[in-house]
Amino acid sequence: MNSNQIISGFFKKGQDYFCIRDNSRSFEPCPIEEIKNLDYFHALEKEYKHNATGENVFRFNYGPSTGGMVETVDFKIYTYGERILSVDILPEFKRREIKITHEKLDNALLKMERLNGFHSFSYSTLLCSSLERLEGIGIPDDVRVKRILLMETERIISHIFKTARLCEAASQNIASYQLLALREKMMRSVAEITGHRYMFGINKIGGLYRDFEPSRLIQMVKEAVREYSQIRDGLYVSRIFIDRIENTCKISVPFSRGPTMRASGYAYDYRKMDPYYADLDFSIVTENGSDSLARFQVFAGEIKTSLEIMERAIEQKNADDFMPEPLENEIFGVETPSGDARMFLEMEDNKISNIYLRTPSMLNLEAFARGICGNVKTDIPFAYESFGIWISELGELL
Amino acid sequence: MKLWPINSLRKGILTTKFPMGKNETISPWSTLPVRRNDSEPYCPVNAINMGKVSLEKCISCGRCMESMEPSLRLDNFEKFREKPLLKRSFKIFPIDSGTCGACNTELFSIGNPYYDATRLGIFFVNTPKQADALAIMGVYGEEMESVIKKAVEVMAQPAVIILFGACALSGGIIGRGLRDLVDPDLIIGGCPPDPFVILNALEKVRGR
Amino acid sequence: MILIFLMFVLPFLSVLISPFRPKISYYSGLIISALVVLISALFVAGKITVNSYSAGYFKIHFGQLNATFEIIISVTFFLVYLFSLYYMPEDRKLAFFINLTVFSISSVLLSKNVILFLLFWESMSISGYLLIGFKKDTKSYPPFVFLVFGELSTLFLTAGFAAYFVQTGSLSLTHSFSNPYILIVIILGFLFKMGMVPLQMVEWLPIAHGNAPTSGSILFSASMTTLALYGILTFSILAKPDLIIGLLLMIFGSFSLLFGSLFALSSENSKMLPAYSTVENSGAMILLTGILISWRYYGNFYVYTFTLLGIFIYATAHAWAKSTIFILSGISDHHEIGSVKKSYLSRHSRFLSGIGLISLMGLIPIGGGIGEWFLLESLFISASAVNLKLFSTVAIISGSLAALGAGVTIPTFTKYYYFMAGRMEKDRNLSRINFPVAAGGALVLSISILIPAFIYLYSGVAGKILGLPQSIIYLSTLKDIPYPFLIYSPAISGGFFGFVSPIFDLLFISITALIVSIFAGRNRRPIPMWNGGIEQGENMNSFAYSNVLRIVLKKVYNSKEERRNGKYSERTFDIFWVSIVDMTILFQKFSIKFGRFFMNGNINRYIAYIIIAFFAVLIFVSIF
Repeated sequence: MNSNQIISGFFKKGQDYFCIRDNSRSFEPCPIEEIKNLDYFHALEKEYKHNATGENVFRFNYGPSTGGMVETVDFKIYTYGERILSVDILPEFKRREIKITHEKLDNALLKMERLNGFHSFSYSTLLCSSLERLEGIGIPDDVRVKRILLMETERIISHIFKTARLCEAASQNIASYQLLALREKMMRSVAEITGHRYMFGINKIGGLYRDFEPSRLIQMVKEAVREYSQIRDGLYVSRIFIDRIENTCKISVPFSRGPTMRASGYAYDYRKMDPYYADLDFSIVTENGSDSLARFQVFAGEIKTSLEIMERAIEQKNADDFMPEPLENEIFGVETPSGDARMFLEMEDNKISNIYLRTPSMLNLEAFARGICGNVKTDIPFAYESFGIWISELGELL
Repeated sequence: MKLWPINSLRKGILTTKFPMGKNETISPWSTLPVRRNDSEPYCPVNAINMGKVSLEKCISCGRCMESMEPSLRLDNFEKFREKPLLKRSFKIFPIDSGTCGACNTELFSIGNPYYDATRLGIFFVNTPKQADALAIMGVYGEEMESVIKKAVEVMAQPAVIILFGACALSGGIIGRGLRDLVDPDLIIGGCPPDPFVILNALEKVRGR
Repeated sequence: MILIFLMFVLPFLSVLISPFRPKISYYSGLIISALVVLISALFVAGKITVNSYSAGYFKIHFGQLNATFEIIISVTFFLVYLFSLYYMPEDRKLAFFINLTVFSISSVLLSKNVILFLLFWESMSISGYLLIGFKKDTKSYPPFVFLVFGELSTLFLTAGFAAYFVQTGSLSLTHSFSNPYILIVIILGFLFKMGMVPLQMVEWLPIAHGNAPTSGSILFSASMTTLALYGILTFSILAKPDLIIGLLLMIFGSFSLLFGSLFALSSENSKMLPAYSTVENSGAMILLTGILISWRYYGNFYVYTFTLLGIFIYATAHAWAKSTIFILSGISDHHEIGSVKKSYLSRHSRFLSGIGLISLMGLIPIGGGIGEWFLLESLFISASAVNLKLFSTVAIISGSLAALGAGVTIPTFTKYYYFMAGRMEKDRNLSRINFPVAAGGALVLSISILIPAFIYLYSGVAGKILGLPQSIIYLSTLKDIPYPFLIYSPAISGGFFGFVSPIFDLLFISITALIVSIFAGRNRRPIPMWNGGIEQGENMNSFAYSNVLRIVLKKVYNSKEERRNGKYSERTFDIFWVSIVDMTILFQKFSIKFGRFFMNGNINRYIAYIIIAFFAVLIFVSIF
């Protein structure tokens, strides 16, 4: 299937249904039948049901509140012992309802930051840039560059964290701790530079609340990337590590998002369409393994690319205001570290009246549920950590 | 990089001396803000009352930066239990009731080499049956209410209940807090709390 | 003379009563088997004498070896009769077949010459066939498989006995012989009946899948295998010891032990699992026999009397515990372990069935554990014989296989216990097997409590059988453990090698448990289950319990995963059985061609004719 035609989200506006397609920046009307025929329709509805039956098959419960998982999520594993035949994922234990509509825009921004704390800057940038586009607010190009810098830093931190979790699951404890230390080092620098470890409270509609010095950030990221490459090289020659993650959770579906998608050979990256990155030439990192190893390779490649993007963004900074042409029927988007998030916004009286957000975890969770079939239970950590899924992103935006 | 141990030795000791020494760093806006000038501060969650910042409500957003500045202090917590206990080892079971993910990772980061909580005898466990402390994070969620109650029930005494982060304490800006659901022995504020604050609070509640 | 005659005739009376008054025949069987145990025990202890009886070729006798086996096997008969009183007590056909089998087995034990031996052996095979196939809804092939391989056993035995007659010039079971090939042929004949790897399926599949009544399973698994062991021992002791046979038996036994326990773990059939465990235990006893023959070859009487003692203890523990477990398998009419939903057992029955299972796991201080100790100790002693390079190497190899196999039995029987008896269900209607299973368990427990008596009795027997001037009693004292409560093993040059005290262990465990429960009882706190914070859903089933092994040992189990119409299933196959079936199909094609060419009549009738003719000839010869 060509990824051009992939419907990655749909929403209802009035009585009609509209869908969001990859490689397109505007939404288009779509008959409900077509949407309902999607085999990942339930994932877009935030339901992940894959029950299996058979002789001796029973439902093994893992979760909701258990050690080993960072967030609250319940897995119902269909198995006849060890081998996973199928898995139901119940994210609703941690269902947050976040009221964005008819709120003060600044409060909406604060809430958006807390949709996913780990990727908060990507989401706050998504909201800020969309509101700026809708309201016709121009921002200094300096702000655009700084936002790119912080988003790419966030991506590097996220990829390092995912690699660390992957190493921990594969019992590579030294590597895991070195990566966690590296992440902590970056977080401390980020806190020092921006005032908050998770970059909360920096973004502002039309600018930044707290300005910072980009050269320090670049310097810090450069060092971190150098250290990361060393650890990565060490992991590449570790047979135990490679053996454990190779062929684990193989999944190649065009609807998966971000690194998961790119690890199965689909060269799709929303940054290529994002006006923020319009002048920045970079190559999309792809791999063909479709397994946890390939996803790890994509993380490693993207960390390098992110540094290149940051350096290039500083170089290409210009003095003009940044103000892209608004599109008709625009659907906004951002490439978060886990994949692209797409958002539809409607304004009324200077307040948000309608919002639809399709986060990457919605589709990646489905991809995980499909990919994990056939693996054994002990593979769940290697697989889950490599998808970069955040259950908090599945919250309800009202 | 093939020789992991040698590489590790080359990196040297990263671990902080805290609580014996001073904390090296802190996330500025995760600490409670203090007055900088006399202008009336703006707060989206009404955490500032008569110039005093409520640790339960503050969501570390820094919107008050015109009139306030971060205190950089480690006192962003409060304990409701006087009797020191669990001095030797302290096992924490985290429960996520509805977080953005930041509290979870901040709590786990006290295990990374910079903080190395295990040197203080603080561990994470996989079930509340083995835990000395429950760290409950996030806003109130209907489905999680019974889970939290059950976890409190299965814990052996003496047990410490920790409410962790602004969401759990007051609901922050997102929703409803958990104060009326459980009776905490320790509350830690911040959005999310800084690892040094967490370490400090845990050490204090243990009476060390 | 009257005693031996009674021991032969009384079981036969039971057979006569059974078609008319099944229940009375069971009661009489109970009394008779108890009586036989008593007489045998008194005889072995030297308190009474029992003479031989002979009339023409009809010669029966009572020696040290068969008296010992009478004790072991008659206890299993006792349990069979007890169980039958609760399980279809009014079925006349079943009663007749059970009594016939019991009569055949006890007569084999009493036979003094090979003709009688063969006659009753054959009658045992046929009554076994009838037991498997007596229900109308039985599929036709399982009893046939059983019978065909039973006949193969008889064939080998006949050939071996003929050669024995040619060499010794006597039909009596008392003459020693030197040709090792005769011994090999005879042992092969017995091994077929024991259902050893790779032939385990031909013996046990019919029992598990052929609707055989549970009482039949006990007779096959506990009594017949012990009887085959008796046969092997009889001839092994008569034969001039040969090292190669000893080593072969050791390797063969350890191989059987390992595979038997591996297959037992993956089995989901409540009868097949203990049947595989029987293969495992038979392997252990064959291994011990191999050690016995080897040490007889080297002429070290310390070790071989110890090994023979080990065989007796092992056989006792196995036969009694296995009877208990087969009684437990009667808890449900379904043979799938997973389908047993709840077991209505009283608390003490549950405990005593657990004792039986622990015995089969081979854990000290319960009976099977002591047998296991004898096995491993014999292997250690053999391995320590460094100057006998080949022998000690074989001992180390078979010892490691044996230890591996013995370890695997622990998860096997914990699974069996949990799914068959472990789940409490408060109900007034106790299961019909409640009392028999408790009786069996109590008998197994008695082995560890009365172990000094057993050792004393069996040590004496072992010395007498092996022709020592004075028997060595392997009982000793150490520090605070008083005289009869310590069992020791001898070093190659005599003296002490190792020791064990089951009574001490038993006391230690129970007193510690008592102290803990008295002093720590106040701090007890019931801890609610934690299942991630939600109510417990479905339970782990028995298939899942051992599926890890199925995935890891894919090659051994030949496991196949299937998905049909969205339903999953995973099956395992016995690779030995699969290859036998393949070979059978080839042979069948060949036979059909052969048959069409030479014999154009009805093949089934022809086979039936051969069996009847053979039987008639045997009866004819034994009478005249």
